[in-house]
Order: sequence, then structure tokens, then C-alpha cells
Amino acid sequence: MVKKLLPALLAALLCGSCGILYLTPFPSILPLAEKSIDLSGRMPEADEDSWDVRLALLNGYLFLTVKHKLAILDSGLKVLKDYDGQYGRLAVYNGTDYFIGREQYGAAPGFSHLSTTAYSQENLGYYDPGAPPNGVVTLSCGGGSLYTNGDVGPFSTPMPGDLNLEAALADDLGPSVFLFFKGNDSEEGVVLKVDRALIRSGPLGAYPFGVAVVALSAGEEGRFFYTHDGFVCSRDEGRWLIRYGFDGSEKSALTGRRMKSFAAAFDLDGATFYLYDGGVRRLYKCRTWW
Amino acid sequence: MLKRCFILLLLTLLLSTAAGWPEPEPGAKVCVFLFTNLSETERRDIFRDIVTDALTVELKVAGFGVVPQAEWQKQLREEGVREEELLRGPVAVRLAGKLKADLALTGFVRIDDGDLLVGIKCYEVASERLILSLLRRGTASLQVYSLINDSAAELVAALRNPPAALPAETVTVQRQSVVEEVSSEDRVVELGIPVQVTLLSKDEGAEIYLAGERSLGRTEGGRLSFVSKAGTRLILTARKPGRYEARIETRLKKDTKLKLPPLQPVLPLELELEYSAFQFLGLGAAYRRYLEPGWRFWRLEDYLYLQYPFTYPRATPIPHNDLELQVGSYLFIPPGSRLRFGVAAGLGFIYTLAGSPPGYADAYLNPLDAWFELNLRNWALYYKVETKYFLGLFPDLNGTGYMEIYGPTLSLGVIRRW
Repeated sequence: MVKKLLPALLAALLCGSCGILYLTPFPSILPLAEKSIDLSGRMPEADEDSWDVRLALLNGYLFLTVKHKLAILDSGLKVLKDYDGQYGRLAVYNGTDYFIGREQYGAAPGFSHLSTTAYSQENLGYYDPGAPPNGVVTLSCGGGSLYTNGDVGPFSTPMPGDLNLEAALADDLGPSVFLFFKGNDSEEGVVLKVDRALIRSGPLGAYPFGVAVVALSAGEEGRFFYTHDGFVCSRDEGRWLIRYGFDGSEKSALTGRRMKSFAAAFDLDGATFYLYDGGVRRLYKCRTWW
Repeated sequence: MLKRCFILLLLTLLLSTAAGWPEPEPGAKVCVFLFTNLSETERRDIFRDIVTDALTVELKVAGFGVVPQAEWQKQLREEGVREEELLRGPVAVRLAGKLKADLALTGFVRIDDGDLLVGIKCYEVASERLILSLLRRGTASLQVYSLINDSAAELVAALRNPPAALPAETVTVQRQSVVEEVSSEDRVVELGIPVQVTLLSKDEGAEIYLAGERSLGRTEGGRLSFVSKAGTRLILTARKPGRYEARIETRLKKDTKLKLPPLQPVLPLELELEYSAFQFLGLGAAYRRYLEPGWRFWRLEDYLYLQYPFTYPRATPIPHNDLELQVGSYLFIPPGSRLRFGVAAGLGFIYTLAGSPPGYADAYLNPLDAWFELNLRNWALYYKVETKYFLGLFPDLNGTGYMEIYGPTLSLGVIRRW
């Protein structure tokens, strides 16, 4: 009996140890962390698995929103300002001002609150200098259409199937915008590279209306990030952060514990990323894992 | 004790008022040796006492003289005879003769699975004849009293009308018969097929107990032999000072050699080394001290490990130190057994040196550890499943909630005992 049992137990132990390189009860990013800050006294508790937690890296400053609360930090994780307001997915910097949700803030270091705008706080957005007056272009998806709004449009472009727009990230170095779509009942995602000018000009025409860059396996709750080293996609509530090449090949993954709620932002150069763990309300600045 | 006195008083009253017996003649003197309890536990002694006392009372009521118990027990001590030996007719007859008794009454009581078996034998001292042999079976309950009544009636009747004296040559033959019967009784103990049991043990001088209570003697030369009967469920316990007792259980079919497991020494100090999944680059050590030898203990464990995903080129190792104080207990299976299991609970914290000092301390409650272990003499191997619930008491990394990876932590450890 014992002779039969022991190998089984050893196997179980070893199997459990297969993830030893990655699995830990501690944040998997600790060995990559340069700095962290406890924001439990400043930010509210996020609901579990909610999307109320968002992080944007704009002009070298971090804009962390949790529900109605905004904290603005510099790249050294020093809190510069915090506000209450109407926040959502929209986070755009137009060279002078910051548009976070419906709130408009002035330039650093004061970040003074300028106004409450008419932009939809739940739309995704990016900056387009060719779209006066603020250059804020917003996008949303629903009912089989992609809607362009903000300082352009409004335009409506038919979309196939049941796709959702999950992220719209503009490359500051180029004329393109990366749009990340994902099926509602599918784990597959697709990245489209679209010219800003095309979006600005009106309805985008027949799907894919741009270059279908790559298909990604994103998971149900996937989030998308863009760097000059490739795309990053999260899976399983942040347990996995997977880096893909521009050709769609999986390059490397960071794995760790599941987070109750989280948000991340990546430097475009792919050297640094920031991660907010909503469960413990701690913000980390980390080196990337590649 | 009170119960027993009450029963005896009741019996005495009943018997003394009974008109069932004829007026006694000045009777013979009977030595009623305390009946031997052949049950596997001394807890059954109450039935032995009830039967012995009740028969004594009935004999007195019937007019027989009875040798006081203190008197024959004194004689027993002087001669160095054990009570069990009184089952041998010649021994009982010899002792009764020395006490000037005419009759020797001896027998046994045995309880087996709720059945009561009473054997009574009466010897005439002068002729050394067996003049009565009774065997009665009933249940070990209040039925004992009707069983005693029936036996007593038969006994008194036999004593009042003893068989006629036999011719001298017949007496000789009768003596042989007694000898044969005694020999048989010695072997059979009770109606059953005799079985020779030999215990083999490496622990010299270990005392062997039947059913944990009745001593069978000590092991000498690596063995101890005794006789039992076929079909008996034998529960043997070996004890030796400074060692945990060992227990074996078997049902006898034929002559048997039983190997006793080695008695594990009682060692108060234990040190452990532990390796846990998900804490690959590290090792734990624990000190254990017993509050109750072999059962309850407290334990202090320290596990130092590195979180270092070295496949990430820009990762730096992060040290974690997990310190925990536990109380634990083994369950059900006694010390000295080859396989045991237990549970423990504790409090601890994991100190993490990351970022700038002073680092982080994740305090936790360990509501349940469960493990089982394989015992070798001074060593043991264990396999453990543990849980941790983070309390969020200090500046920490995990907040509150159960430590979550893909289930509880699995650990493998080795224990060294001194």
C-alpha cells in the first residue's frame, strides 16, 4: 500500500512543482519590480473582477482610476494629484491637456481640473492632431457597428459578427492606430492596424478596413497592450500576461497568481510596465519580462 | 462495588428465605476457590465475583462449611501458587487438603462476545475424585442469576449424594483420569482447540498484554509463547519502558508465530526538513516538542526560499522567509505505528525583502495542516497538505484571503528523532 502510495504522492508533489518557476502566492512581478506604492489609503476598493480599475500612461504620467477616484502619479510612483470625477475607459493626452473619462485636466505639474467634457467616458480614444479642436477621437462598438465619435464624425461602420472593441492604441511614432477586437463568446482576438486619416475621414468601409495584423488568443477577460516589442495580452484575470510578436507568435509569458482586479499600462518602448493590483491596492513599476 | 454488594445482599436474602432446600445436615467443609476469569479482559471480573460469591452463599445456606477466602488466599501466597493454577485439580485438591476441607470447588468464568460460560468442578479431597463437573452457558447479563441458581441446585444435590466410594484399584484409575483431565484443562483452557502462539520480538523484556490488560509475561530470547484457542480474536499489546507500545491483532486458526513490530523509542526532540511545492528554491526546517509524548506537540518552522523566475532575463531574486508556530496532534493511530496521520494549525508570517527595507510581512492563520507519515525507527517521512489565510495585518503583499495558487500547498518532509 505504502509502496504504491509513495510514488503517487511524489508525482503529485513534482507536478505541483512544475510551476515552481512561475507559480507563487506572491505577485509574480516582484522579481521584476523596481518600485511599488501602497495606495490603500488613497484609492477605494474595487469590486472583484470589475473593470472599474483602469491605468493609463500618458506623456510619462500615470492616471489610475478606480470607480470615481483618480490618482495622478509620475513615473517614480509619486502621487502628484488626486481627484473625484466621472471616469471610464477614455484616457487621451493631446499634447497640452489630459482627457480622463469626462474630466479634462491641464498640463503637468499642476494638472488643474479644466472642465467636464461631452466626451463619452466609456468610449475608447486616442489623439489625432488632425481632429480639431481637441484631437480627441473616440470609438465604441455595439449592435454590429463600430462608432467613431468625439472630435470627428459621428460615423458608423458595419462590423461582422459579434465583435467588441477592447482597446484603441495609437503609436506616437507613426500614423497608425491599433484596434483590438474580440468576439463576445470567443477567446480569439484580432488586431487591426488602421490609418488615423482613414478613421477621421468617415465610415471605414468593408471589414477589416485596415490591416489585420494578427489573431490572438485573449481569453474571456483579455486586455490588450501595445509596445514596440509586440503586443501583450492578459488572460485569466491577470494570472497570465503573454507577449506576442507582431506576427502573432507567442514570445514569452509572465504567470502568477490571479488578481481580484487589476490594470496595467506599458511603455511604448517595451522596457517598463506598470501594474495595479486592485486586491491589495498596490501599484508596481516593473521591468518587462523579455 | 455498591452494585455488587446490593446484588449479594439480595441473593442472601432470597436464598435464606427460600424453602427449596431441605434442612441442612452438619455438612462437609468446602473450599470455594475464587473462580478464574478466563475472559480476555479483567473488566469481566465482576461476573467472576458474582458467581463465586453466590455459590459460596448457597453452599452455606445448604449447611456446608466454607473455608474463608482470606484463609485459602493466605495459603496460596505461602505456596507461591497463582490463582490460574487452581484450575488444575491436583493443585486445588492439595491446597484444600492443607486447609482441612473435605471438598475443593474450582472453576472458571469466561465472557466471549457477550456469551457467559461457567465451568464448575468439585473434587473430593480424601479420594481426589472429581465428583461433579458442570458447564453452563448463558448471556453475560442478568441471566447470570438464573444460571447460578441452576448450577447451585445441581451442585448441592451432587454434594448431598456423592457417589459411593470406589474400590482401591478404581481410585487409582480415577486418579489417572483426574490427571488426564487436568492436563486437558490446562491445554484447552475452555472448550476449544488449543493453539500455540509464539511471539517474536526484537525488544527483549517487553511485557506482553492480552487485550491491553492481562499480562502474559515478558519476551525472553526474542520470544514469548502461550496457549490460546482456535478462533480467538487475539489483541496483544507490547510495552516496555521508554518505548511506545505496539499492538497487534489477529484471529487464531492454528499454531502461530507472530512478529511484533519493533517498539519505537519515546524521543522528545524532533527536527524536520521540509520541501514545499512552489517554494522550489528553498528549504524549511522545524523543531518539534511534544506536550504529550507521541500525540500532541508544538512546532516552530522556518522556511526560507527565493522567488526567482530565472527565465526572465531582467528578474532579480526575491527572498521570502516563512516563520510559523503550530500546535498539532496525531489522530487515532498510536505512536510506534508504521503509518500515522495528524492535523495542525498555526500562526505565522512571511517576511519578504523586496523594494526598500523594511520589506513586507504577510501575517497568516493556518487553519489546517493535514499530513500522514511513514515511520522508520528514528526517522519518518511525511506528506503534508497545508492552507494559509492571509490576515492583512502589516504592510503586506497579499492583503486578506486564502493563499491561492492552484490549491493547497503540498510538502514533503523528513523527521529525525533524538
